[in-house]
Amino acid sequence: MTPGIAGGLLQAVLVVGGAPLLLGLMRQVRARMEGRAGPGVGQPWRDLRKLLAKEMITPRGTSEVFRVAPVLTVAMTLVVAVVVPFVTTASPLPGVADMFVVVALLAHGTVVLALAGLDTGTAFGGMGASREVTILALVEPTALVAIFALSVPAGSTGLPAIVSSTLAEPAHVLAPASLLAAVALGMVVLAETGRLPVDNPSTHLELTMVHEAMVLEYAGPRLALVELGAALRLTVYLGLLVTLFVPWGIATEAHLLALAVGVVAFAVKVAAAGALLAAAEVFLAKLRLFRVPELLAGSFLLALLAVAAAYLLG
Amino acid sequence: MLPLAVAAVALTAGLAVATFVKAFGVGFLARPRSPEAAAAHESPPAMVAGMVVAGLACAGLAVAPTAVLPAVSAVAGAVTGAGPAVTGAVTVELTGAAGALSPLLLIAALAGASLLVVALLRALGRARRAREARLWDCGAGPMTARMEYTATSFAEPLQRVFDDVLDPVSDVDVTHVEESRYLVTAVAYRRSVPDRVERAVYAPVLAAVAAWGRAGRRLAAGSVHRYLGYGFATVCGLLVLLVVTR
Repeated sequence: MTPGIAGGLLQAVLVVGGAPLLLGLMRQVRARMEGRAGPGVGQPWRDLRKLLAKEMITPRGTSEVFRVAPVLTVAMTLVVAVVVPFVTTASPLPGVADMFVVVALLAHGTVVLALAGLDTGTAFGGMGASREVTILALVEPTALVAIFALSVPAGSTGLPAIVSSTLAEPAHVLAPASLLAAVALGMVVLAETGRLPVDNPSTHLELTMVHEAMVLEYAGPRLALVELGAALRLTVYLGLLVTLFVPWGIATEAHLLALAVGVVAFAVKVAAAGALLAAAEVFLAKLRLFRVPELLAGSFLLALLAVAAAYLLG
Repeated sequence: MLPLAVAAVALTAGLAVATFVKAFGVGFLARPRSPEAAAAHESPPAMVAGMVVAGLACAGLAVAPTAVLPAVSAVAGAVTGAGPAVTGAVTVELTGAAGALSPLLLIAALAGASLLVVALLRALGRARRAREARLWDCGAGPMTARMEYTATSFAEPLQRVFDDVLDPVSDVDVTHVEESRYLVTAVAYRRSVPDRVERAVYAPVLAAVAAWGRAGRRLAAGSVHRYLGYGFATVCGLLVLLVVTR
């Protein structure tokens, strides 16, 4: 087994095992800061186990799209978890570890769920899909432009190349282009994972639901997949952010100790980023849906400035 | 200029995603909203075959672009006098820049991951038959197709974002109950997005040309006397011109 494949599998296991724990940690941080006891870090795993044991329910009038969508979302996020250099820069599929491919895969995870929401034929499904796709259409340009800005100093859009270049020259992280891209990508992460102030992950109020409205018809094991997919997306997006801007600890050689350091560093970095995000969310309220585009336009502008800075100052 | 070009391409990519979700989601996954649409049936196989061939060609090119890329890049290289722009059998690699993309490997990885997810789901879940259930209808009776999101309603939030650019025309008709203005019997909502360039540039030009044409039609009304008059006036004008210029 080549180090690339071993590293990829290790990353997949780590992300799948850790994603619900990250979600649990974020909920726990939030609960403690709001003065509640909180259900504990392991609660998302217990929820998943409960949902998996329930019977499969198929709503009448839904087609294959509805049934396939949760599997595809999880599969797409899994592929991303395997190829992105979270723990080691040795990628099992160098042709897939491209930033554009990774962003497209993550966006398609949302697209298949939006199609499933439309497939149910309910008003809620359509509403959620419409809102989610609106946000996606505005977030995607920001992500692409920010990636482009990051690829300029490295001379490649391949993630291992970007990470290696940052590791070789740590000063790159503090360059104006990199800082601007970091803020822009941070907003992308907030919008794509449905966190405050774009979407409230814990709401089930019809006026404010975005992601939850889209997946309202899911139940049992399929809901478990949807929930796991959401947790995986959150982990992968936060992981992408820390991998790009705080890459220290990522293994550059196939060494057992280096891999162990990489695993611990990744877990600590993502947990810290998640805790920070959860703590910030306590002080935020959800934006009105039609104010969200203004926020996203701001992040798009930052991404554009990042590209300009990368060309003019880099 | 390059950053602006990148931004334009990126914006287009985002809108393309929304467009295709709308086209596929509303076109193929929605319920029929009229008896005619409910009675729709598939075209004969010969008609479907044409579309299947085109679709397969698209899918084939997307999955294995390396099957045709060497030929295309050889032609392009011969025209520009440079070497081939892309190389690689499974992975497409750019020669000028460090970039690689492998659709085939990506599809294989996705298929593998999907199979793994399904297998794990089978192994972990209880092997019970799937039960059918009603869609959630807020407890207010069965859902009808009229409650579903249409293409217009699906695109409305995005259209609202680009209101200033698109300048859509909307039309709301509210019919009230006779006894009270506070009760409504029907609300009709229509929204269209006329092309702004068409309205601002083409329409005035077309109107001017049409007006010019109407004026021309008045000159030739079919009266022989008038045509003789034109001839007479032209000859007179010519004579005057000759007298003046000689």
